[in-house]
Amino acid sequence: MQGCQRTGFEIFQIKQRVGLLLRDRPAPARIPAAIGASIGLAALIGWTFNLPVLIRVLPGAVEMKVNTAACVVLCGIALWIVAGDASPARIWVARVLCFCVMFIALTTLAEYLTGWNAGIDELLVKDSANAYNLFRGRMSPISATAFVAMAGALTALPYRRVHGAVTWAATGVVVAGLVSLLGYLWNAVEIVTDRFLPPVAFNTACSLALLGTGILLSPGKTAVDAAGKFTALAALEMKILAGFIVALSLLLAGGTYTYRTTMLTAAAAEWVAHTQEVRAALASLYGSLAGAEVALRDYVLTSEAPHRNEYERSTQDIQLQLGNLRRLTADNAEQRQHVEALAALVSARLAAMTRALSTFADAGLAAAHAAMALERGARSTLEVRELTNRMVAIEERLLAARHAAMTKVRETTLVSLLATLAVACGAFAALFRGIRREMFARRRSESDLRETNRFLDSLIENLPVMITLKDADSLRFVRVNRAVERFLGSSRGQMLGRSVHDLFPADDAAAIIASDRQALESDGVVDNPDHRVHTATLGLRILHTMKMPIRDPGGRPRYLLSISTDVTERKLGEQAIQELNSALVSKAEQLTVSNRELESFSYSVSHDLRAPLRAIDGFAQMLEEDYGARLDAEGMRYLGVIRANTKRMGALIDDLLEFSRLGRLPVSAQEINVESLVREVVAEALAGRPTAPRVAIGPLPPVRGDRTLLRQVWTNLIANAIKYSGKAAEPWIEVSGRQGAAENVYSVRDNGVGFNMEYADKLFRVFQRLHRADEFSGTGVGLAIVQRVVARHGGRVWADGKVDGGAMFSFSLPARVSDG
Amino acid sequence: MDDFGAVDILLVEDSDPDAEMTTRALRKGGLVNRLVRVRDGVEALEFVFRSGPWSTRDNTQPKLILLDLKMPRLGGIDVLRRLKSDKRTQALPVVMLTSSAEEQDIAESYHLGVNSYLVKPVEFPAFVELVSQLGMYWAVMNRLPA
Repeated sequence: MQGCQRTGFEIFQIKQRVGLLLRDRPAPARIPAAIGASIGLAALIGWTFNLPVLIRVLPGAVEMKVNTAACVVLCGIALWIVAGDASPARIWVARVLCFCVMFIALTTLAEYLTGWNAGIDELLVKDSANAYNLFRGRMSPISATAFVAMAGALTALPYRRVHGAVTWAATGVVVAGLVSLLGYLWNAVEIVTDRFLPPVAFNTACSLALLGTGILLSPGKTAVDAAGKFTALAALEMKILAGFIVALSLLLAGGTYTYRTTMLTAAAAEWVAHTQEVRAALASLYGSLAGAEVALRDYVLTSEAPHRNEYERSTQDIQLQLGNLRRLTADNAEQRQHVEALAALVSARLAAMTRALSTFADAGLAAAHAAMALERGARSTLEVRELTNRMVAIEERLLAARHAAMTKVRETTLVSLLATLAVACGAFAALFRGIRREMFARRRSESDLRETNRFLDSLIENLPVMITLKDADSLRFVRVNRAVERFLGSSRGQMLGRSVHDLFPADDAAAIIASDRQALESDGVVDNPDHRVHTATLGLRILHTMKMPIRDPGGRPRYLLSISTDVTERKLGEQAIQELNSALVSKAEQLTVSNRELESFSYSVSHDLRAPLRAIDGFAQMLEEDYGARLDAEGMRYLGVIRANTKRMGALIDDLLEFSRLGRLPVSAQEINVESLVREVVAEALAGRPTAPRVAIGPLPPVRGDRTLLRQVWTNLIANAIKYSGKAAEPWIEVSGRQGAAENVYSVRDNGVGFNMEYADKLFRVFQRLHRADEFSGTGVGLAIVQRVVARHGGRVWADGKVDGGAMFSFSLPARVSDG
Repeated sequence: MDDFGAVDILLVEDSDPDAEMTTRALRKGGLVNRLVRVRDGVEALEFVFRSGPWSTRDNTQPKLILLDLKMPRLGGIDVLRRLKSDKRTQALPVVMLTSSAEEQDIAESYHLGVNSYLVKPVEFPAFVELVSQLGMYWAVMNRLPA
């Protein structure tokens, strides 16, 4: 995670940005819907209040019919509803509207197809007089078909499966609108369909194009249902689609220009040819006429039959050519008039010539000559030529005009093409920029997303807890992290797609599945702090498992997230601790029992051992009292030994009992003024003694401990000191103490007989004595008691001594007493 | 001591040597003449309540009961309890005379209402001294109800 040093807040921000990008954009489809509907509404208002500009927009153009306007408005509203995030109630409203539109459109189509007049065409408003449609008030079949397609598309919009068909239908509507529009815009006669079908009004075409585009732009429920991915795609898709539509339109426009220009050029060429034809026809007519005249003249001059044949032929030719001319000038009224005039002239001339011929045939040359001279009234060939020339001039004028028109068109086309090119470039540039920006933003969001994903992935992988994700329905593993792999000892390849039945023994798996289902039904977290599983690699493990469902936006559980921590060690530790505790408790109980047994033991010891002792001593005494007279000195000595030993045994028992008792007493902790305690003990020890040693008590620091027990310690030590210094000439005892950081040290020194350091380690043992009983009395328990008590306080005892050089007994007590 | 008449002291003691020594010490003072010794708590209660083998004795109570603690069948504590809880025998002075110096025994005895608690010394002279003083105190100094 070296490069991924993001704070939690930054991660949050990334998520925000990604979320914003993926969130639904406000439906772009609503804009064309609104515009389309308002066009329709305007038309309706126009019909109601008789405002032609709203109805037909372009002067002299086809009007938007009332039904068309109504359908446009309804479709617009339906599109608006469907394009947004609509509630089911609203969707139903949209469906009703679509149904109405469908009804109107289908009825209209039926009317066209079957010739039946359903009476819906002029239901609301009477159509205007100069309607283009044969059927008054009826919408164009193109519009009707387009409405059927639109209504169908709008109804089918929520269904993902027919999305393709919807797209096609909408595209069809758009194309219908655009084509009609283009026809209007460029007056490309060959494109507009008014030759075959009643045309679509300009505003209708606009509305159709807009509404169709709106449907295409509408993301539909598909995008809203699926994860935000679709919406994001849709936004970009729409941009690209819009770009394509623009491109298509521009292509269409450019193509239309080119086509039109080509057609016009061809037409112009035709016209040139036509003019030449006319000229040729006129020339040949003139030629024929002249030929006829020549032939006639020749005949008259020579009376040879060929000339007459020639004349006849020429006359026929003239008729043919007149017919030809008539045909050629059929389209031009002016030329036709001229042709008729020409024909009249020619006929007159021909008539004159025929008359001359017949006169010649009948009366001879002179009569013919005279007759021809009289035919001055008939138009001469000159006049024909004049007329011919005039006709040619007219033709050429027409040609020039057509040339000029074509040139103009060419120029306009060039300008328009350049303009279109410019617009196209601009549009493409904008589109490119838009797409690029979108791509860039998307790439950035993708890289942010990747970054986030990588971070999250790394987080999931590296967390020391086991994270598994199962599909909610099949409960098969969808995702596991490294900790799981390590735990189960298998790679994730072996786990993904499997269920727990493949990885754990049957009982464990059944338990896991049961808790999985429970978790899926619950709302929160199912927490099992003591989840036991048997693994292949590690045997029985105890996990702390938490499970929670992960729901999709609709609230249905999609995944089950499970987080487990291996708490085996901890649990085992806890178990061990518990076991230790119970062992301790039972040990403590045992100790209590033991102590109690010991107490009763001491009790019986004290009672049962003393009784016979008393009897021994008593009867020995009674023997002495009653039969002492009859005993000699030795006998008395024996009795003395008996009695002395009895006493000793009693003392031993007492001391032993005391030792045991002190060992069992609980050590209470209280602040003890050691100095006053020692003074007390010393006073007590010295009481009643005939000779008392000199006792010096130095300053003694106070300490925390058990007063009773420590009193015993001091008593024993001081009694010892007094006892063992008793034989000294001037016995003295010194009691001193020293306060330390961790412990206090107290000492009792005497100048008595001391002891041999060689045997120092025996000093503190029970019944161990370093002196003989006849030298010094004592059972040898005193120091053992001292050692025991001090040890129970957490301190130590030690001693220094020299034979006949006195002894010093010291003990330490910790500053803080621990309960022994 | 098959004295079926008035009894001054009832000695409840299971140990024969102890009983002998105690009796000797008490007699020595000359203060006590009439003493009955029973061997355990059951006999003691039979004596006091005049049941069993003692049902024919005089309708008088001893002036002092010396009670040992550890005895077979019924121990001293139980006898004490019986005696002190019965209205008829509540007022009878009971003195524990035992070798046990255990705090627990002392405390319990006093809780049950014992009049005095004495620990038998191990040495005989001390024992004799104790018992004679005991006799002196109870028989001479101490006042008893009629």
